[in-house]
Amino acid sequence: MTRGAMLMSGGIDSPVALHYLLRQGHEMLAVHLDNRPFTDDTPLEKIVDHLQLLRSRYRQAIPLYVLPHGSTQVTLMRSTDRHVGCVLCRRFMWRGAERIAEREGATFLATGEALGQVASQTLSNMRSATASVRLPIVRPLIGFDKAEIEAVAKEIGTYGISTRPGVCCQAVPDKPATRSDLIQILREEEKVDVEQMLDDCVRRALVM
Amino acid sequence: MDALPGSGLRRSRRPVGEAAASPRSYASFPRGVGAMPYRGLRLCRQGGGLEAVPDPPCSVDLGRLRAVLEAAGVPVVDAKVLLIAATDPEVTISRAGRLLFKTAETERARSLLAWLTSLQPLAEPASPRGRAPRP
Repeated sequence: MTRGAMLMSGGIDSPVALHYLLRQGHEMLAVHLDNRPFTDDTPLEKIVDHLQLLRSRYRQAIPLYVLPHGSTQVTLMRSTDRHVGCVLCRRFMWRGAERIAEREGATFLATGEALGQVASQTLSNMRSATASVRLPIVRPLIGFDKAEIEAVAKEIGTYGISTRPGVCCQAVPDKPATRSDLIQILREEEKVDVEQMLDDCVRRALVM
Repeated sequence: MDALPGSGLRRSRRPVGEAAASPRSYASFPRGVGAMPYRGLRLCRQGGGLEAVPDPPCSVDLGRLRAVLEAAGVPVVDAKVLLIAATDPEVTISRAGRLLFKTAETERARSLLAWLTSLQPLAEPASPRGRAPRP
């Protein structure tokens, strides 16, 4: 049995991906990058409910690490090109999850990404985002379409939680890049102090 | 907070019946609060917040608005391209004057919108017509 860190967003996909990994017998921990004040409390509330359901189904503790991400978003918005904001945000999320994974002895990262669903999930954006981490990344839903994911979510009982009303992320630019160039991303990232932002984010992490 | 004035205001673009039929359509909302007309309030894509979009498009001086809000005792997060004001309910204000209220309760959002549009930077936007210029 291997230990992995699952990035959770509160959406439909991540609890389904987590369900598959738990079903395979992996020991999992969950990581959430808390976007408040760019969102409201609902993503975190949904994740708490998702985990309660999956903990009981698989009789696993699944600790949740909540990393404050709002101040990172402010710095990115103030200092970098808004067009690639979602890719830069994802790179920080991956790095935050990797820091927690390494600290807790997890050997892989996981997400509920499915190819092409949203701007951040095109192949070039995924490449740009995940180039920031070294641990292997597992994507149980990569070839699923939305209808398939929703069907599983309904079957395991997470769909109703995921689809509760919430506030859309206000940090998403009007026209997010669907194709990104890693060189450009790295150049944008040089405008901020990545390590200090990450240190701050991980230091203030809460475990639930 | 002042209530919206009840006279001399135009109705929203869409009829009330249509607003009731679709959760994302604009609720009936009077236009012409201050000098900056808003199209109305509608639920955001995920249904947990209400958004108001200025019509016609305009540009807001966020630096000035931040100063005014802080002078009124409202804590503000300044992300350069938008402000997040810790009002009740919390509201996000973009450079293009777009507002997102973190509530699905129309009356609470309406009442806050009335107060916000009475503040000078929103009552007299920097550029009342055309696209919002980039800083």
